[in-house]
Amino acid sequence: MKLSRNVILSLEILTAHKLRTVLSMIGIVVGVGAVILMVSAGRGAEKQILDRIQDMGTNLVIVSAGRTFIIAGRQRQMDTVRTLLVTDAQAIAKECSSVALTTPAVSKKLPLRWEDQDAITNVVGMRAEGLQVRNFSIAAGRAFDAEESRAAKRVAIVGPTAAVNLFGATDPVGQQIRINKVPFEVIGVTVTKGMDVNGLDQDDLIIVPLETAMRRLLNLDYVHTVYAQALSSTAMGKAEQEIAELLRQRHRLDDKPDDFTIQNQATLLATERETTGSMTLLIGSVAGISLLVGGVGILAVMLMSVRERTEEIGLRRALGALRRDIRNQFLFESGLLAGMGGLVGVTSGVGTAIAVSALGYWPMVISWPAAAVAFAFSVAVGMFFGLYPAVRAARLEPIESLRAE
Amino acid sequence: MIQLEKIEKTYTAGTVQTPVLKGISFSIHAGEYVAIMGASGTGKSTLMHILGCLDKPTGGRYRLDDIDMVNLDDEALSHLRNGKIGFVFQQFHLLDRATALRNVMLPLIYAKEYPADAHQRAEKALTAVGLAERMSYKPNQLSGGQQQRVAIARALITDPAILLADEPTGNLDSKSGTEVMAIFQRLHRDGRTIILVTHDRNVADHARRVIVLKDGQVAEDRLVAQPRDAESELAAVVDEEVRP
Ligand SMILES: Nc1ncnc2c1ncn2[C@@H]1O[C@H](COP(=O)(O)OP(=O)(O)O)[C@@H](O)[C@H]1O
Ligand SMILES: [Mg+2]
Repeated sequence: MKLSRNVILSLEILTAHKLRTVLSMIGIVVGVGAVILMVSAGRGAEKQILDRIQDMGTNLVIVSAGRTFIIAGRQRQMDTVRTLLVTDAQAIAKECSSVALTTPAVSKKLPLRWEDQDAITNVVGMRAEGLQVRNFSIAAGRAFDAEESRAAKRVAIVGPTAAVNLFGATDPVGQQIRINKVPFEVIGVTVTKGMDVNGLDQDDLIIVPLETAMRRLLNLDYVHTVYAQALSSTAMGKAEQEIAELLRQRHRLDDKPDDFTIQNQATLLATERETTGSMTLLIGSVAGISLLVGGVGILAVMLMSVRERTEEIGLRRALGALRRDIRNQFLFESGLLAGMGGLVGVTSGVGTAIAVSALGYWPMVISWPAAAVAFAFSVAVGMFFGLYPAVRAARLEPIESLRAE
Repeated sequence: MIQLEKIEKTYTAGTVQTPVLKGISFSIHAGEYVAIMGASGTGKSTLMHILGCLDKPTGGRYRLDDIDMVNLDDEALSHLRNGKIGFVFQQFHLLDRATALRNVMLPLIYAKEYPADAHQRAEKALTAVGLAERMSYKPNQLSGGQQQRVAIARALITDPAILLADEPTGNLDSKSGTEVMAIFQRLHRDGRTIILVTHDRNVADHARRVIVLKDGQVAEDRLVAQPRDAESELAAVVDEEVRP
């Protein structure tokens, strides 16, 4: 109550000490700004990874041949497994009730040639509907259709990166190329997708019809991957179960281990969210420590303020202020300092995040709850570090303070 | 209103004991205008701090309005200072970052009830000491005499029973000092109890009663037969200034 009567006076005194007030706030401003920037950057990175997972397709369950292992952050197939067949894909689509459709795929790194240009890229064979399942869109030219796939036509769609590598500035559509010495016609270019979850360029590839790839390029009677689209995002777990059961039965595995690996987008999302989430928290806490350092600035300035205002403290006591009135006043002032610093920190942190994002340096996702927490934390830090100076002020004896000149 | 019985005050610094007040006894009634006089270092300020509940005696009894001060705690003393006592100091003790008006309002911040008309009261108090035109000035924009008048307005804003002034004219030129004396004289006429501490006989003679301290004891306690009249002194000064 007495505090609120004193607010205007406190504000007047703080604003009269402009330089000192600004200096004491700098640590808090930087701390709060850093927390907001770091959390925004972390959340931006998280969103980017989640976007990439979503880019892979919608409600995807991915069946890979053989057991896969994660080595150095990348998924690797350890052994050549010939048991995953096109007929498996058909059976999954037919018999698994949670699966809407499936599309089989093969892929291999192969040499390319156009005129006298050479390149090596990942050649992916898939069916026409696979383009939709895996979210590939056509930027120029056209896609192949089911008929061309069935007939094993030698047509190819290039990704933007592969296109630049091979053709430079030339328009790829209509060009004749050789893939592993086999002649192909380029009929389209895909829309840029960027990097995938593992940081691989999803645009450095060439897509050809599945049958063409199996018969004319790779000479395979099995496939590497089957992409299955679940009926809904909630059906993915069920779909995964059904597929595993069906494949074990079709491959007659009995008591042998799986000869396939199933991943679903939902669990991928969950894992990624978890790792990036804890990363963001860690970075945010490190930035939070700089806020604590900012509190030391408040401590120093408030101690200076108490020493300089000894006479004022004595006077207020003579006029009837209780010890706790003095303590509350100085606590309020340090909280106010930190709060103002926090406000400036939030503004500059959010401003910088928006600018960095707009300039394209890093995707930033501003977290308003994090900003609110950082602000509240700054006030708490100010009050915490203001407590000692405030208690010291309250302990002063009025007569001695009045005598101090 | 005030009863002092054998008040003692001994300062202790380590093993060194400095007795300053050695058994002071006197009473002051409501409406009195008393000057406490004595050479520098005789303990006038010490006595005033005890009277003003800023300090406690090391011996004796002090009763203010029949309340025994010696037994009161820090908080109760603070409330008493705020409600019953107005201080005027030699060094003014104004907040130099705040306007005259805010300085005058300062005691109200610590009042039990914050009056709704705090602003108007402060304005009235400043007007009463002739500073109606200077309310939004900061102390460094005011003369010494004006600053002391702001301090007087501040002392009176809570309508205290007693006004305690410690060398209020000590830092002022003689004309400003006389102006302050004129204000005290008017306050006394209006019934305010005033205790004025000074080492200056000319200042003390404005009061109705003079208590002289010497060696920590009351050496003299007498009524002033013919108190000096600050207003006529002021008029004389003004006359002098007008005359070529
Ligand atoms: N806190 C203190 N500690 C020790 N001695 C003090 C203290 N305060 C005042 N004194 C001493 O008490 C004596 C009286 O001081 P004071 O009351 O200020 O005298 P006056 O106001 O009459 O000039 C002086 O000798 C002074 O040095
Ligand atoms: Mg003195």
